[in-house]
Amino acid sequence: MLVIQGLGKTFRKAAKATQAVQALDSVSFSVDEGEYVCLLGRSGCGKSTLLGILAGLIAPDEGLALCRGTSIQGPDRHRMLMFQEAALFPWLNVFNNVLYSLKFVHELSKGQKCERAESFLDLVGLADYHHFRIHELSGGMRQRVALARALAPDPDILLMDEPFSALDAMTREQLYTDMQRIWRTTNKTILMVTHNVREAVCLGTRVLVMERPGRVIADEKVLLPYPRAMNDTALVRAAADISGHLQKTDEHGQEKAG
Amino acid sequence: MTTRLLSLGIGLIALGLWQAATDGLGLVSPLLLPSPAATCSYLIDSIMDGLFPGALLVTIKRLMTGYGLGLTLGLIMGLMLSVSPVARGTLGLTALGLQTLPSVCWAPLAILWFGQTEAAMYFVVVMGSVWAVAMATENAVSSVPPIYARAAQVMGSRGWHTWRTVILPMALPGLLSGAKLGWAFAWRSLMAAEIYVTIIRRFGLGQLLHFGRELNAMEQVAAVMIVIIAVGLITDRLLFRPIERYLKRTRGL
Repeated sequence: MLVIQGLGKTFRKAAKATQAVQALDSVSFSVDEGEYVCLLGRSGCGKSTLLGILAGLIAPDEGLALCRGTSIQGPDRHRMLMFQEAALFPWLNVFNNVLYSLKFVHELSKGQKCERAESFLDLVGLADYHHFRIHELSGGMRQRVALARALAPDPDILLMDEPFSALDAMTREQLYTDMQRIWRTTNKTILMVTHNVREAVCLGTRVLVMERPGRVIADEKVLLPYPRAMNDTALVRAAADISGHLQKTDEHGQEKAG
Repeated sequence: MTTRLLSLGIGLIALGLWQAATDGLGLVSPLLLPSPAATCSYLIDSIMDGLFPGALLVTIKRLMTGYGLGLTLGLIMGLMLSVSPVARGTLGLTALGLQTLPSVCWAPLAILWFGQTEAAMYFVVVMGSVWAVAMATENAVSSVPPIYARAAQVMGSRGWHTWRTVILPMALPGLLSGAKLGWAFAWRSLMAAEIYVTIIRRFGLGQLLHFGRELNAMEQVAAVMIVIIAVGLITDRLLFRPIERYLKRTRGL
């Protein structure tokens, strides 16, 4: 479904080649239909750059990124991206925010679009909030609207860039439960960036560990049955195993000796 | 409610003191400061005999035309500034410089170029307001967080569509502040222009103020000032307050 081969990206400050920052160094992996893949790594390891490339917002320097067999060229509504902030439009109410993402789904009639928006708001648990304004919602509710907006046009893949990291712990736990339900009802392929190990293990079918500068160092399947609970002992143990990979790299992303 | 009553009371006491100092005790000469009663009766007379309504109409017409031009040009220039680095390096620097120039400084040139005409007035008003609007517009657009445009692009929006449906609505509060600033500058500029540029038989409020001074008719000067303040307040309420209310209601700003 998603194939990434030898993807590289270096950010240069104009004219100063010495100040180049290597964000991605020949990253390769693939994601199968219906998988929930979590990309785990310290901040600055290139996770967000990778997601930006897959969303078509950043052009890679080298390598190949294919989605359903076609090369990724620019943003496309078949690859939806969710951010750390909800980035909802404050001049539209909840319903119209979701409707906005259906503007470009030309095969649907006006009525079908409204039905679609309604059903996705139901799915994320906001059936009673259609006419609320964005500033009236809590952070968790805003992310739910953003999720409904991203899912409504039925994308091939949903890319999520640390979608829960700006939320408080209780809201997050509730969203983990809901996210598992939503993923299993929609069968979406999801690639989610996070720096929370337990979050990755709780949600993902697979966890990829990245390190600086922009390399994948581990690719682990999470075989625990759904629905998963954050405090389940098996889950905590699995998370500890994954953490082991992260600890091999110190703050500066250098591998420790031994 | 009690705050309102208290405010009203303080206002009335101030007015009473003013009246006492002028007409009542004669502490201040009416040549320097007219009494509230004299100003009020002049105001009512001038409204009744059609002098003020006529002047007001002339002034409002000039204001609307001049401000309309300044606002439109300023918005266009501001948008150009926000998309083009070349425009920022040329037009942007010009705007920054000319914004600091008080608009009354344009009056001598305006009279030289256009004579004692309406065009001279519009020129001063446009020059007084356009730069501030342009700078505020550029600022409003460039301070829209890029994440909103990115979110729209991911959903399939491109180019002009992104501008129309995301960037401009997002910049609306900033655009409104620019429009308000432009309005304040336009109003000041027009008063300066009307004092400098005299058009016989088409007197605006600024000219009435000027003649009041020349005739030592201080109650006329004070009455015109009251009308000028009233126009400012009423425009704020009618033109800008509804938009501010709308923004507050929908976005919680």
